Amino acid sequence: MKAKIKEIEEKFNFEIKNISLPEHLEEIRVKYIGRKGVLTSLLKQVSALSNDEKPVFGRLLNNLKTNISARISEELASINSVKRTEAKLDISLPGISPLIGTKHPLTLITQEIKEIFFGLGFETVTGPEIETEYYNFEALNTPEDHPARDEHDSFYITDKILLRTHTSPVQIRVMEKQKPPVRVIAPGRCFRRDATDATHSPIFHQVEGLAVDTNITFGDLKGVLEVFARQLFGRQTKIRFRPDFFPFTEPSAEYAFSCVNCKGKGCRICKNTGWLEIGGAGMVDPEVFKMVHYDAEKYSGFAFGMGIERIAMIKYHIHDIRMFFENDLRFLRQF
Amino acid sequence: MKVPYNWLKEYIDIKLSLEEIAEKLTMSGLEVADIQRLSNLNEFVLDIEVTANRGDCLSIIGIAREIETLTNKHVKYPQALKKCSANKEIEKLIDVSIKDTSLCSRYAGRIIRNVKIEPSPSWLANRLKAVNIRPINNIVDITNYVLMETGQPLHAFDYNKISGKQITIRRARQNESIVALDESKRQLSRDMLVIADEKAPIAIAGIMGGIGSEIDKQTTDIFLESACFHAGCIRKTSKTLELSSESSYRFERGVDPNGVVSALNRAAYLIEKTAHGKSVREIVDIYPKKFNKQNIQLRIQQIKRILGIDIPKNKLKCIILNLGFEIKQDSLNNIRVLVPTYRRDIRREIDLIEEIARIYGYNNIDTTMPRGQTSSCGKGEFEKQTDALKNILSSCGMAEIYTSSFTNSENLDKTGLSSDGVKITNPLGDDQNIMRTSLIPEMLSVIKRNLNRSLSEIKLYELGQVFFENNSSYHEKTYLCCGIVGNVSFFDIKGILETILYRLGIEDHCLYYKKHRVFTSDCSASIDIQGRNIGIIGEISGNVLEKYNIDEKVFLLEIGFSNLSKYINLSPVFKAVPKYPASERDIAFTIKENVSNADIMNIMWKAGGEIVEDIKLFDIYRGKQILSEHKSMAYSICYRSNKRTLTDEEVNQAHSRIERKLISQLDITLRK
Repeated sequence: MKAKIKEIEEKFNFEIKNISLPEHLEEIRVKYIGRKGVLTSLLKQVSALSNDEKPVFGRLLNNLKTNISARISEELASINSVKRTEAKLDISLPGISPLIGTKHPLTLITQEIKEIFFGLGFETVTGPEIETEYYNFEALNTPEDHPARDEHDSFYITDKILLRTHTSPVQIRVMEKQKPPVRVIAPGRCFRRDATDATHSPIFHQVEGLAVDTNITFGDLKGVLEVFARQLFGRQTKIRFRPDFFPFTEPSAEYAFSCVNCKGKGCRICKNTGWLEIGGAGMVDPEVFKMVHYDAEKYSGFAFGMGIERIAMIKYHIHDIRMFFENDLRFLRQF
Repeated sequence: MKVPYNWLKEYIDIKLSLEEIAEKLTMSGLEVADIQRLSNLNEFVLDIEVTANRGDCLSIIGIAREIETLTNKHVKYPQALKKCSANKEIEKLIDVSIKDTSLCSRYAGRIIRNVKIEPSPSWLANRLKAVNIRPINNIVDITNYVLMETGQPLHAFDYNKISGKQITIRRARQNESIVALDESKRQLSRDMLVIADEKAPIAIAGIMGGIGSEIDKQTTDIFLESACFHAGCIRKTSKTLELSSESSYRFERGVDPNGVVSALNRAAYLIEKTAHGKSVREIVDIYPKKFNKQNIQLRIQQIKRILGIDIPKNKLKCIILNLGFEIKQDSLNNIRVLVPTYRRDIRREIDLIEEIARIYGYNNIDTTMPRGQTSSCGKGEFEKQTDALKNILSSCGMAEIYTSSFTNSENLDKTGLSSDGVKITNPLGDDQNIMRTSLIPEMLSVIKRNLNRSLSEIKLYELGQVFFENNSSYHEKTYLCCGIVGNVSFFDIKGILETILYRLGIEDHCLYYKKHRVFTSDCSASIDIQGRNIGIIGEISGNVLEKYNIDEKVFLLEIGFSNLSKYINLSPVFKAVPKYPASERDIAFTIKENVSNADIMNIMWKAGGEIVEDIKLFDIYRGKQILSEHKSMAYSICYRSNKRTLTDEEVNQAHSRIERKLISQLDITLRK
């Protein structure tokens, strides 16, 4: 009897493994535990056993019956679930995306620029957008009759108060308040009375940088901007310095990065020069130090500036500066 | 500055190709922005961007001198009439005096007789065309030619039109005027310098001649002027009169007083050659205070201090000499340098260091990193807060916008805002003449623009500066504006507000009804934090929407973020996660419509005692089963202690306290 039970169990276990259709499961159910099934007929034989054996085999058979029944419903459920999935789910249907917001590309670029300079030991400072002529020009060694003012056609509030034309006034404000060492960057909005076209906007943004200490050199300026260029645009980026003129730096330079698009070979973006002009830089002019009562014999420093829109346009291949201020969601949602 | 290549080559041998020269000039600070081919003139023209400090390069010879420095070739100076010193003889013909020597450091002139006014020969006319100057007649063209050649502005007067044969360089008198060569009358003032004859001004010094003494077909004798005027005065006059010329452009950038006479003699030479004239032998030359070469001490170790490199001394001296500077003294640590007067930008040691760096090549200077201390702490406090805010708003699905800082009274008016803003005296247009006092007008414009592009579900924010004037002092504040449109209600914008405040660590805030002109009358509130008003929130009124042509409902908030700053706490302090289980009980009741959720919550919090951890509203129902002007509200109250597991009895007691208070104070009817 015991052997028989064992044999039935093994046979069942073997058969059920190879079942994939519900109808076959039903056949198995009928075969083993149906009214005329093998187990049922075996149970009937139990009554003929001795009183000692009856409970033992009765329990064994009943356990097996329960197990078989459970196993069958388990298989059935599993087959059904597979079947339902296959029949109803089209995974090529579109996903349901959560609506996530976006930061303006100028915010993203500003944050990226700032992070790089934080790593170089700079900190952020800010200054007002409504400035005095003193901070915007005079303290920056640009007196009223200086022709360099031609490039700074300004919006005036009163005779002596205007909208800042660059972020350089922040240099002065910082040095007035703080003794060296100074390492700051100043991002912010600037205004020039330029007509709007694809590359000019009367409202634009700059980042200013300033480092002053007892031992700051032109080589350091080159080093800092070179590290910046590589971090922003990739390891292969090269940097080029060219003499230029700003009243508040001496020596003054214009700096350019090798074209990110063509890697310096020449393309439309760099007008076939291989270089992208990024901004102006130089060593702080002793006249500026005089204005903020720094000893030019003891301290030296460098300053640099760059246009945030310009960098964003290069980075994101945007050809028209006006896109930044149109706020078309189809544009904004790309960032 | 346009430089025709063949013209340039008259003064210097160039062995390099055009492109190589352009590259060399560019890399030493004279950017060749463009090379233009003029096929009709068989000429290439370099378009050179001369920086404001390099007035000496605003001439073909100036550029040739720069190439001399870069290539070691020598400049060949053009032929001129012999230098003749001033002589009594000419004083009988013309009487020249400078009344204000601070504004005119040198004034020289020549009289040339019997000229024949004709169109210029083609070589001359073509040269001027190549530099975009319109040929007029041989005399005027020669003054322009020499101007382009030497950088020294010249002016030719018709000698016979000079009244009293008297020339005075003086400030204009009040109410004087002049009709300039551009045929428009200019009102002059005391701070302007003029060239006057016995009667009246005949030229605005350094800017433009007057029509009264113009060279015309009948002209036979001319007075040729070559002078040096004060840069600042010329610039101011030019700005005031809104009149500029090739001459004023050069005076503003500094003209060499020691080049005045050679240019005069060069022009006289050309006039004799091409206009048949004969120059009076002597010249007028009033030069009260001679301009000397700058004498600058260069400390060798300063080069290392500023540039970071050691340049070998012989290399250094070589650069100085190539620049056309003289070395007057040379000791171990110092070099004394004499700078020619055409380089008026070189006055200090630092200017010399720049020149050396420029010629040595910026790209040959080794790259280093700054050493030493830094006191940096990276982001400032406010910056951390705005960064956090932008992260929160992005997580809320909002898109950031950047709008103009300019607005106008009509825009402010449309949104019911006062148009008392900071005014720009010289705006680009009247529609951009006020600095914004609110971010709302532009937010609505941007919403409208996006609706026009068939976008729905618009959720925008801007963080930007707004501007105020108070007793002639100006204030800037950072404002936040959020606007939402689409399948949204007031509670979506309120939810955004609550999320912002919660995530910024601001625990208590309160909204109360307050009418604002921009919002509808029943959906308009002020936002208070610790009793201080920090902003407004609501639904944009139909009236305003109509003005913007918006058909959708717009919900909006504006916060003075600068004012919010001090309440922000970005470093939350950890609170232990609860150890003991919570018990939840619900309460549902009907109540009069006019009782607010806030009133109910207040009573529940107070009545429940300290074991109330949280209360949530989960249902509001209005319908047939409820009395009219009543609503049914259902809350779920969570009770918990952080010291022990609460007993059922404790929870029941607290819950019934709440029920009793609500019944007694708000007249609710419990729903069972």
